[in-house]
Amino acid sequence: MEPLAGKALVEEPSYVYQVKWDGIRLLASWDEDRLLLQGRRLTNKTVSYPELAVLSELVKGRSFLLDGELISLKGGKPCFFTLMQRENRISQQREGLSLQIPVYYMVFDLLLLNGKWLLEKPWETRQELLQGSLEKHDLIHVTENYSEGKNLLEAVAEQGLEGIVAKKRESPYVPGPRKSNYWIKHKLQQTLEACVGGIYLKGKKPISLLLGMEDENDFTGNGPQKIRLIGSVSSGLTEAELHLWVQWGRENSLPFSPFFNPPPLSRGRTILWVEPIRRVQVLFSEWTPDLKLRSPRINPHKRQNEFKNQRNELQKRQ
Amino acid sequence: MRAMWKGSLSFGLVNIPVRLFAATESKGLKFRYLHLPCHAPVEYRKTCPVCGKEAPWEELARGFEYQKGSFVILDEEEFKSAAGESEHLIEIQDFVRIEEIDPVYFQNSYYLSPDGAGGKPYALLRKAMSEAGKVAVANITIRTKETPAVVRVYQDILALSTMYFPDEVRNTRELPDIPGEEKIRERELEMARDLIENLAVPFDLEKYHDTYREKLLEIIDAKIKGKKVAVAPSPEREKVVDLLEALQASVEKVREKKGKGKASQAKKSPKEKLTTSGR
Repeated sequence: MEPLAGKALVEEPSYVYQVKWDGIRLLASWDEDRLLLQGRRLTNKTVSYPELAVLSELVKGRSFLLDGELISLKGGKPCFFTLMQRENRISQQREGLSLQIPVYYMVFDLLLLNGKWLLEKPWETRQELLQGSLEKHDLIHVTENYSEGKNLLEAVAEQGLEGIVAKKRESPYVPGPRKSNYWIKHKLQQTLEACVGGIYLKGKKPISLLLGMEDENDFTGNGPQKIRLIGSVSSGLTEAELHLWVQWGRENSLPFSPFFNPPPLSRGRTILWVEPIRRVQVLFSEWTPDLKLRSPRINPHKRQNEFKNQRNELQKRQ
Repeated sequence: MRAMWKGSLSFGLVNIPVRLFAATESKGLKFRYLHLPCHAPVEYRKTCPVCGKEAPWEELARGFEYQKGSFVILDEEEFKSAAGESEHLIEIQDFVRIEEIDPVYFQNSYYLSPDGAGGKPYALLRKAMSEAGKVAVANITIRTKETPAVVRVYQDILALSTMYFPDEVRNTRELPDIPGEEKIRERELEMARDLIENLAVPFDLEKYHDTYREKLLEIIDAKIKGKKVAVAPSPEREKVVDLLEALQASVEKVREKKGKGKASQAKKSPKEKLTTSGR
């Protein structure tokens, strides 16, 4: 069951509101003696997160199926990027990673308990059973329920979280990847500070800035000096600003790509590689599974001031 | 392979568009420095020794230390004026025999591949050079840096090796303790000649291995298998409960700010309570 993207927030007593955690959806099932962790498309993730085996001791029941979101933190906030670093590791390194990149399972639904399916039961009943049957643990938390949507959304914005989900109290659980209007998500714009590692050029015309992030948990031997390409951005930048970037870029160019995953070069386009020492504030809607930013744009309120001076100078000259 | 440079190879009146690929890669193992008590990889920060503050990019300038402690600061304009017009160009100047160039000059090797319509002139130059048995000496400009280079036929491609400028190669006369013509007995020389003769084989680099690297990998593997692994904790173990508490505080703040709904204030906690009576 997937939430539908909502437009205006419905504030109604028939709904309950939860934080939308920015991580990966995870179904956790226990059947007598076997734990199974499954991702969104029922991909088996059991070996990736061995620390969740503790679930079998926390749930009072000989079998269960939980639904929730797996998250990882960075700077105190859920960070999809960090989680993906954990997810993409090869198995050999995992043992250390559970310590280095801890994950938390934010459980929000109970679909099966002691061999009995609860899908048809209203959300409230399932929730009650969930809260009654899951013991407290450091890594595993039952998502809190709030009765006021707008207030929660405001609090979530203040905390820099991804958004909220409104859930109909009476609703059953609709299995499968379908979207259902029993659950309605409201996402906030996300922000990030990225460094610029290159400028896309078409002929002499700058097209966009290539954004990168330091991959500090990178054990692959790419070395700390290389950065990960996370997307390119042009919206939010004026043509004049792009030209100033190129001007700056020519003076701080690199003969090689600073990215360990540089983009393919398409015909007629070149990339001016630059030292990834300048940062920009980027707004984006979400991370894609391959760690790129979805619909990024430069935060217009947080433009770098240094360019203002340059701009003023240019205007004076004209 | 990914091109690291695009430009053109100029030869007389012909311009061959080419791409440059790194010919070699280092297989050396990378090690990071860990702070032993914490097992955390150390961070490098640029700080100012005078004010102790971290130095952001905007506050950095490049200075040349012309005598200890005294700097000349150059701004970007000045760097630019020295660089002149930078072009992506490999300009062939002369053709020489490779034996004339001592290996001490060679720096880095690259492979050249034709770009766009460069295929035909590339093939022509390759054929002519291999027939003449000569290599080309050229100037290559990568962005603002210019170096001498040699372009030659390697297997069935054109390869380029950058070279040091003559003044970058140190004079051997500065080397201490080099003997002059010593008196050497014929028998000793004979023995040395024999030894050389006995060890003379066709050149085969394949039989040389990086035993240091192999040994290190062996040690690393054994440590991983024996679970003697140093695990770096996050700088501060981030706890989700801290976030949950902060969120709770925000929720309460929002409620108070709105001063709204005594009903909700009346609740023991802003957290929704589920009761068996439901709603």
